[in-house]
Amino acid sequence: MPILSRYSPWGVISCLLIVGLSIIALFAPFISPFSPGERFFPFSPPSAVHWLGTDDIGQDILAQVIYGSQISLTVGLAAAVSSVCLGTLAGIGGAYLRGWGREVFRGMIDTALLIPFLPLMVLLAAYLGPGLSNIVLVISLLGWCSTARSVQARVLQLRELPFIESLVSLGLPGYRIIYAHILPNLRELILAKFIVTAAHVMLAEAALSFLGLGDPTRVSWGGILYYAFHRGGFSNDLWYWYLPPGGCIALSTFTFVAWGYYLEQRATASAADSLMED
Amino acid sequence: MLEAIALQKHFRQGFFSQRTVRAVDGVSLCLTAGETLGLTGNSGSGKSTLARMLAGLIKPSAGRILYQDVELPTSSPPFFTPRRRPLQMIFQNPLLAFDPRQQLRQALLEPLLTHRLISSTAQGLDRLSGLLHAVGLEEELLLRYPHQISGGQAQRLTIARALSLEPELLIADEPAAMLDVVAQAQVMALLHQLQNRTGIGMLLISHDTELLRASASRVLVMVNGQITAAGTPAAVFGPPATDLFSLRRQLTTT
Amino acid sequence: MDLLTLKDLNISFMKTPEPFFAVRQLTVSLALLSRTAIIGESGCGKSILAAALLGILPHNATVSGSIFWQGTPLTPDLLRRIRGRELALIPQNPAASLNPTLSVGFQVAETLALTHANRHGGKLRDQVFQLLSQVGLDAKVVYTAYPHQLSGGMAQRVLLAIALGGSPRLLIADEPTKGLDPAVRTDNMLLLHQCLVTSALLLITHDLELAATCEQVMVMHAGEVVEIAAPERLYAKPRHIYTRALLSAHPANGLLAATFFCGAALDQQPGCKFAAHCQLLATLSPTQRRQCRQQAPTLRGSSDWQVRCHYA
Repeated sequence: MPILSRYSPWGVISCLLIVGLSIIALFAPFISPFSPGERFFPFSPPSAVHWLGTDDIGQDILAQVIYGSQISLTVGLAAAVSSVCLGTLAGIGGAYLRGWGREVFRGMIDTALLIPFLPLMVLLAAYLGPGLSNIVLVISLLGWCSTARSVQARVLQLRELPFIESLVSLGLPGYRIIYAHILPNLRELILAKFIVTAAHVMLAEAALSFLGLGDPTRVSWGGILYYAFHRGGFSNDLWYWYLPPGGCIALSTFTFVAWGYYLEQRATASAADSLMED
Repeated sequence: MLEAIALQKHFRQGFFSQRTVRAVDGVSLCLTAGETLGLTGNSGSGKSTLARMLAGLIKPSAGRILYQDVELPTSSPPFFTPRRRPLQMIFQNPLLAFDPRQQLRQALLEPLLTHRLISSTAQGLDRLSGLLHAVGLEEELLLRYPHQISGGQAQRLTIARALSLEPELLIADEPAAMLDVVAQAQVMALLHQLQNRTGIGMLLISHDTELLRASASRVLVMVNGQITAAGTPAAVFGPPATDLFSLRRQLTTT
Repeated sequence: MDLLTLKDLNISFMKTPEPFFAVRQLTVSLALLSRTAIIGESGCGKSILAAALLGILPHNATVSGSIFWQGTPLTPDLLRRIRGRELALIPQNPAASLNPTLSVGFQVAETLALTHANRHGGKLRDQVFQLLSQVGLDAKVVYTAYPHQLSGGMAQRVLLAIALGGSPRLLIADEPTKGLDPAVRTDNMLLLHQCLVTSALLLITHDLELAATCEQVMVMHAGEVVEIAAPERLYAKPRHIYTRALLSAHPANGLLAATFFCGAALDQQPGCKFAAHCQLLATLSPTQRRQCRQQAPTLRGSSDWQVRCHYA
C-alpha cells in the first residue's frame, strides 16, 4: 500500500506544482524578462518581446504575474501558519482545560465561527488600511476558527482515551501531556488543516486585492485582476491581461487542494495498514 | 495503609433534571500492606469508579481517603502531587494504555523523569533493564511501538511502568479481562511474585470469581454502589466450582 | 456428507523477511449440526481462520489449500451466495458491529429482506418481531431502539437474530462473550445453543468453560491444531503438553502460568516446538528423543481424538 500511495497521481502532480511555484517565486528576478515596474508601449498585444503583452501604463504582464507569485505564496504561507497556530492553541484550550478557561475558549471559537468571513475581512482590511502585513493579520485573525473546531473535536476524543488517563494516574502534569502526547497525535490533522487553510488564504488574498484592498506598492495576482477590471481589460476583452493571473490563482489553489487530498489518502491508507496488524 | 471513609460519587443525569445516579454510595474500605483485596461486582456496580477515586483520577462527591493516616487532597483532579506517587493503577486494556505515537522506551522513562527518580537517560535505562527482567520481558521490546506488541506483553509493561515509581499500593482494574487464559495466568503470577518480593498492597478488581478465589485474601462484593458482602473468598463465594463443565450442565438441564 | 471441509489450509501474510503463517496445514471437517469449539491464546490464528472462511481476510493475506462447502469447492462466487444466508457470523465486538444511525428493527429487517426476497411490509415486520423474541428480547421495545440504547449483551442478541434471519447451516461465533458479565455470558451462551436448531456451530473462544458446551474442541497454537477431542476427554486427560498448560492456566485449575510458548523462537527448531519443555521427553528412549527433536510431529490418532505429538 505505501508504494502505491507514494506514486499516487495526486502526490506527483501536487509535488511538481509546488516545486514549480516555489522556484518561480524564489527566482523571480532571474526568470522574469523585465522588472514589473518597467514601462513600455501601453496596450500592446502578446509578441515575441512581451509574451503576454503590456497593460494600460505599459508594464509587462508576464513580469507582473511572475512577481505576483511571490506575494501570493508569502501571504498564503504566513497567514496559514499563523492561523493554524492560533487555531490549534484555541482548540486545545477549548477541549483540554476545565472550568472557566474552557468556556472562554469555547465561546471564542463559537463566536468566531458565527461571523461571516468575507464581509468582516473586507471591513477590517479597509479599516487597517492597505499593506501586506495587514492582509496577513486580517486573514489569520479570521481564518483560525475552522482549525480550532477540528482540533477541539479531536482533542475531546483523545482525552477520553485510556492512555491519557493512565498518564494522569502516573502523575504526569497537564502541560506535559498536552505537549508530548496530545500534540503528536494531532500531527496529521494539523498538517491537513494547514494545507486547506493555505488554499483558502490564497483565495482570500486574491479577493481582497481584487477589491482594491491589497498592497498598492506590490503587485499580486488579485491586484492585476483589479487593474484589469478597472482599466478596461475586461470591457475590451484583453484576455492576456486577466486570464494569466486568474489561471495562476486557480492553479495554486488546486495545487494545495491536491496536496491535501494526497495526504488524506496516505493517512487513510496507513490507518488501514495499522488495523490489519492486529 | 489505605483507608477510604464513606466515599460517594454521584453523577447528575442531564443538564436540567435533578436526578442523580449514585455510582458509589458510601463505601468504606481499608487495605493493609502486603495483602490482596479483591473487589467484584457486575458492570455498572461502581467498582471502576471507586478505583478511579482511590487513584485520584476523579473527585469524590463526599468522603475521605487516608493514606498512612494522612488525608489525601481530593479538591480538584487530576491531583499531581508527589504524595500520589505511592498509589499506582493499572488498567483493563493494556494496549490502549500507551500513547500510540510514543516509543515504549520513552513511555517507560517519562514517568521516572517526571518524578525525578532518575537524572539521566542512561540511569533510567539501567533501572528499566532490572524491571523488565522482573516482569519477564526482553529489553529489545522497548524499541517497539505499542501496536507492535501483544496484549500480554503490554500488560506486563504497564505493570513495569507502575512499579518503576516504587509504589506501595497497586490498584489493578480488571488486569486480565482483555487477556487470554495463558496471558492471564502469567500476569497474575507476576503480580503475586512482585507482591511477595516488595510487600505492596493490591486492590484487585475483577468480575471473575475463580480468579479472585485463586488470588485474593479478602474480597468485597459491590452491588449498585454499595458493598454488600465482605470476607474471605471461600466465605463470600461458597465452595469452588470443581470443573469446567458447569455451563454445559446448565445447558443440558434446560 | 460433511458441511464444511478444510484441507491443508494455509493462511500467510506478506511480511519481511519471510511470510508469516497465521494458519498452517489445517485439515478438519465439520459435520451437519455439529458443534465445534476452537480454543487457544490470542494470536494463535483462530480469528484469522474465521475471517478466511467468510472471505473477509485483509488484502495482504494469501490462502492456499482447499475449502469445501457441502462437497463443492468454496469459490468466491459460491461464498457470495451463501454468506449471510447459510453461512453466518456473530462478530467479535457486538456494539461496534451495528450501525449506530439505524434502528435495530431496520437492521434486522434489512438482512432478512436480502435473504427472503418475497418478504416485505407487514410480513417482514412480523418475521423481525418473531426473530427478536426468539433471541429473548422484548421485540416491541427493541424494534425501534437504536444500538447505543442497548447493553453489550443485548447487542449481541440482536446480532444473533440477524444471523438467524438467514436460516444458517453454519454459524461462526467469534469470542461471543468477550467483555460480558458472568451472568449475561451464561444466559447468552445458553440462548445461542437453544437457537441452533438447523445449524452447526463453530465457536471461537479462549474460555474453556464455553468450549466445553461443544461436542468437539480443537486446541490451536501458533496456527497449528495441536489436539482435537471431545471436551469430557480432553479436559479430563489432556494428551498434548500445550493443552495441559492451557488447562492449568485456568483459575479453577490453579492459575498456573506457563512461560515457554512464545512464537518466534519456537519456529526455528526443526523438530517438535515443545521438545525443550516436554515432561514426556524424559520418559522416552534416546532414539525416540532424537525423533522428537528432529522431526516435526503431525496430527495422529483416531478421528475422535487427534494429537500433534509422536508419543502422547
